Amino acid sequence: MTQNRQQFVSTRKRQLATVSVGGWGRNQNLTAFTSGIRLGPITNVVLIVLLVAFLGLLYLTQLTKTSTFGYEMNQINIEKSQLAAEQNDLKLENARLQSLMHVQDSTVATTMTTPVDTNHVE
Amino acid sequence: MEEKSTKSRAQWLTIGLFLVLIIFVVRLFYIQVIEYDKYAAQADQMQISKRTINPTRGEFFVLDKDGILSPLVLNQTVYTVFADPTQIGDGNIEKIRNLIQDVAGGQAITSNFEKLNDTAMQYVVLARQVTHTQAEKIRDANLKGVGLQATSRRVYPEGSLAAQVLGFVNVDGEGQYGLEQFLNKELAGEPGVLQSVTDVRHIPLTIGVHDVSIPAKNGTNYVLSIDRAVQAHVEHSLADGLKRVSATKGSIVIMEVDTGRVIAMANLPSYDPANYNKVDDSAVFQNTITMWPYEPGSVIKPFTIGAAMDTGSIGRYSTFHNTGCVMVADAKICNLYRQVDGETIDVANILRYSLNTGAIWALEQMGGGDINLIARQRLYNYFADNYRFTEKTNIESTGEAVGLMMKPDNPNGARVTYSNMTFGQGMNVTMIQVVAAFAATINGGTYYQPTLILGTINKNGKLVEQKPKVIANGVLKTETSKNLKEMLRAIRAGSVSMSQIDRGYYVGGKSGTAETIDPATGKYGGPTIGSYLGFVGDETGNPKYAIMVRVDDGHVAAGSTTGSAAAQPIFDAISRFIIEYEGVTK
Repeated sequence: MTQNRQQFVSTRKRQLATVSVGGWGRNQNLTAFTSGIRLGPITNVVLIVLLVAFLGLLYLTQLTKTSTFGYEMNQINIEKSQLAAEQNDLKLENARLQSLMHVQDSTVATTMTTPVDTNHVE
Repeated sequence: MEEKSTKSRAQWLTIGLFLVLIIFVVRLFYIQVIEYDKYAAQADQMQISKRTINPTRGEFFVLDKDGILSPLVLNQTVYTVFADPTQIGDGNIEKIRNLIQDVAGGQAITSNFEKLNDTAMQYVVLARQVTHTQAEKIRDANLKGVGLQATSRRVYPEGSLAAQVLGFVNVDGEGQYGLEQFLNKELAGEPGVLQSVTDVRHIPLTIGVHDVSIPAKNGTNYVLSIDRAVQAHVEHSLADGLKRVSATKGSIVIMEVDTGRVIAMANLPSYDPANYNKVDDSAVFQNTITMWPYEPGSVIKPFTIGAAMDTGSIGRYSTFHNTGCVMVADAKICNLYRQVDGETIDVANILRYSLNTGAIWALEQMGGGDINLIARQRLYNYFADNYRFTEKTNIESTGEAVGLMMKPDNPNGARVTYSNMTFGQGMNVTMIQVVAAFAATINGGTYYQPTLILGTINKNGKLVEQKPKVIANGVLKTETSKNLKEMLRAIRAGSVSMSQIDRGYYVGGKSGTAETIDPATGKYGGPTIGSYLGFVGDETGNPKYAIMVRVDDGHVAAGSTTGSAAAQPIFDAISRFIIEYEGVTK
């Protein structure tokens, strides 16, 4: 493992050397940072499983959230239908009150009298 | 040996588990891959809910002269209350009974309450035609096993007004008679579809590749050419007029002469379309004006005179010698009015005294002095082609009948029949045919498509007016049309009683009394049918409305005719009303 790292560092140096001009080159002063934390294969697997579980949970959360919109929409549609039915009832009542039959039977109409004598101005 | 044996069992166990695993994998592969379609279909059937969205049936409105739109037919959502006795539970039956009786009242079907105890049933109707408000109270009570089923019904704010014009909608939602049947397809609209994945309570979820939402296309809303106030007055006038002569059947139609629009169409007896199922005699559903052809009698004389004048066979001031009776073949045809026998009569007075002999003389002139084939063919051409008496008018009313007329070359009594036809006997026409043709004869010669529809209401609630449709021009020459209406006006202006009614307004008309066939003898001699055909116009001398009245079984004093004694007074009442209602000036 150590040998491999050394080989890796060594290779990079060679690459840096190839781009240098006159002993100076870009990235000449770079230092490689190596973390002290080591992740073994089991940790990697656990992390991947956790990540997948998290993503799955996120997906389910969003899915459920979308589904709840269905309930809200259904509730709104029910309210809309009820309001439409109430509006229709009012429309019918309005039509009934303005109908000729109702007008003729109204108190105003029934108390009207026929004039006894009428003079027309020619 | 022991070690070997233990290792062998482990291996066998491994092999066994592996085999079981293979079986599971194979089975899962079979179910999930091979039979994917089958199980996917089963799952869809359980999860996907498909509902039909019913369209709203088109409604009818009318426009009055002030431009106010009034509803004539509307829709109302009503509910059927039902119960499932298997779901109710013992303690709830009394509660359900009390609630339905309190809320539904007269709509409750109390005879079904006993069935609530019968758990063999799953659907018991407790109330019908319950309104939205009532349904809400029942829903709020949240009674187990009680459900509501929404349906739609037609509501008629004006009651039985124009019942035969409208028709009705039966329990299957199909239009019957009148406009409802004629325009059923346009009124019905097109159903929509709502398909979605639902939960266990059948509430649609917003996700799912199978979601389909096609909104319903509602039916067309129509504005009729009927004027509500005129229609109501016409129905009252008809009822009063029939009562006056102890008649039971009659009809009136009023048409705008320059558009063909019908502003009133009434028949008696009538019915309430909201309670059509309570009608005993289905004949009342029929619109007599469009469905019942009849021999109209002397109201046809203006058409005969018009044809004779238009062909140049007679002029407005032509005269003939009235003998009172004429022989045509072996038939003796006489006038009803005999006070002018032996006198020389001009064309206007043929109409004034309603002389059958004068109408026959006009026919003879069309054949050069004889009722020959030329005369008959000419009259037929006018009646069939110009006045369109042998064709349907195609007004928007179901079951329109067509007139019946003998061909001029018929060897069996064509001379006599054509003589009779000159005064409206021996031929059949409907009132709508007569009034549409009459409008053309007095408006200068333009035949308009008779219609009951003014237009439709668009999505913005605005009226989209339907333009009047010209079917034919030149029904009569302009000069002939002018002479004809002047003569028809002169008939009324020359009468003291009628001129008092018209008070100088531009009103004209002609009565007619037709004999009917007596079923007992098979010959003329049955009860007479009285008709009146006239117009109302303004000071410019242009008739605005053509009006036709028919009284079927009127009883009038001896010496009077049903045309002048039964039908004409109704015309007088209506023409007077229209003059006042429209504000027509002299």
